[in-house]
Amino acid sequence: MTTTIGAAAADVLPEDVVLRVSDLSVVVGDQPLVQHVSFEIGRQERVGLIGASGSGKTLTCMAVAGLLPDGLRATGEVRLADTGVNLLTASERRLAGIRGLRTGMVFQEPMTALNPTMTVGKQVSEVMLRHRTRPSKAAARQATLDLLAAVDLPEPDRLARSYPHQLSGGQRQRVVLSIALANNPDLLICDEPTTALDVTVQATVLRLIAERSAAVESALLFITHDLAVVAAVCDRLLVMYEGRIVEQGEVIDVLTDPQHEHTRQLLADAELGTVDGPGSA
Amino acid sequence: MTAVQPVPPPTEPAAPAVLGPAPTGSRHRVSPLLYIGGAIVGLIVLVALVSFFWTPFDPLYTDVVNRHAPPGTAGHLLGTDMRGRDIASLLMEGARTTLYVGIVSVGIAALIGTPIGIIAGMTRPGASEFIMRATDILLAFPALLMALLFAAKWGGSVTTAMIAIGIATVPAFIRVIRSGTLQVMSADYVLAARVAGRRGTAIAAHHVLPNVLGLVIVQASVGYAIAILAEAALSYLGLGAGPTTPSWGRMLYEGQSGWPTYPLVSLWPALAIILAVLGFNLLGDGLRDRFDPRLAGRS
Repeated sequence: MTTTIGAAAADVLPEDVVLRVSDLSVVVGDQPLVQHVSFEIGRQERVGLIGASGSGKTLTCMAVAGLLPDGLRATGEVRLADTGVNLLTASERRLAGIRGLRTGMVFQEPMTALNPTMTVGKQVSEVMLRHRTRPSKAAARQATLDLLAAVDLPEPDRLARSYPHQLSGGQRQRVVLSIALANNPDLLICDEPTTALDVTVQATVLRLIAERSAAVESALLFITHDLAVVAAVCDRLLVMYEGRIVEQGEVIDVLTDPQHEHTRQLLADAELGTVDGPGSA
Repeated sequence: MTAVQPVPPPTEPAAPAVLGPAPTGSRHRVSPLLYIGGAIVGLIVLVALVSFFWTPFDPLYTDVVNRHAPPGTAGHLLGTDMRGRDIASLLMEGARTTLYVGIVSVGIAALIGTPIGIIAGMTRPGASEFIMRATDILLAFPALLMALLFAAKWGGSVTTAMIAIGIATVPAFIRVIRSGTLQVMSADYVLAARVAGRRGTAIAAHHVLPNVLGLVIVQASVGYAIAILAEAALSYLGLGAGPTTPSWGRMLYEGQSGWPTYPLVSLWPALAIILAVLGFNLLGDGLRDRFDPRLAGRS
């Protein structure tokens, strides 16, 4: 089971696979929270992960980001592109070198995801300077302005000098997205990125996530319980229920012809008027 | 139908006008306590600064003819003490000692307590527990007892008093800063910093410290009030300022010999101490109102 020193063939994923999760289980005490979850994400593939609250989707994504809270035990393997390490067992030092550079993350609550005492521009350039992906502070600053402009933020120059409380929720979420994609990561993890936003802003942020992740050629792991969002953004869908993946497939197939009882329940709860497949009762 | 009716002026605009600069809206309302406390502290600082350039008399000059003089005698604004020294001048120079002791002891406490508090809030539970229990032990020693111990060992002086008061105030800092740190550590932006690849020290410096700085300021002003009291008490007991260093606590002690015949000699320094402690406490409360709600996430 333990990997040998050096890049053994199994450690480095094939060129076309960005993420491979094999037999991931997370337990707290004796209680299993995530059980034997396995899936793969291809290069530039956009995968949705849906399920009710408590189905283990956020824990799965935390495990993928190497951010499981203390007190939880995870077994299995999570491998990212050519990093050659199991993210579940890698040292904090190793993980810190991967996070932000190879993976980016957008959080649910944009109000708290930015440091209130630091200017927005500094928070964006921090992630580039940390991983030395820009040669100098000046270059990082220029890149910051470009990134802010790329997510359609007005007056990036002025905005970079503002503090988070001076921005609206939608603007903050765009800043968070800029940070997540600053280093062109292999994988962008979005944890319900539109749940806290109002409806008019949701569509814009979703469009930007799709556009920008495609522009920097990053794959997408999109966690949500909003099926309409999944339909709009994702290629493939994983359905989680009680810590297991109960169904997966192309978005259109899963939404129009759900196989598992829980998926049907989700669809029924969402009252998606547009979905009128043969599977729905 | 509303067109002809004279519309009474809306009632809301009057309210925000009384507030000071509040760029982010009414939830950062500045309480009047802050202004009152700030004014008192400002006055004391001003008096201390002026004493460097000018005092009505040389505070150590003894006007033997006018001992225990009532206020207003021979140019002595607040009268003289039993040696004939000008009380107003002594108070002015005493303000220096008071502020000096406060700054140094609170500085010691903040410089030691803040980093330890942040470490205690960020480290693994076991180590954090160890730090907190050690803090509790230190907390069991009141500032005054600590100062007495130090004075017994190294002799009473302003320096000993400052260091003792400073060390005795460290636990309060550790506890307050640790709880603030725990709050900050649970915020998403710390998680975001970890996602960005940031590690312990960088998170502490860039994310935790700036966000607990408000608490440091609040705790400092509260600690300052305690330090003033402790210094006064120590000088009163003869373990603080020496005979040639004017100090409010020492004035109180010296005035005791004339009590109750000449109550004013003790009353003036007592009033000064009360005013200073009140000022710093009000300032601390006002700052707490200003900074705490944001840190607690209440708004």
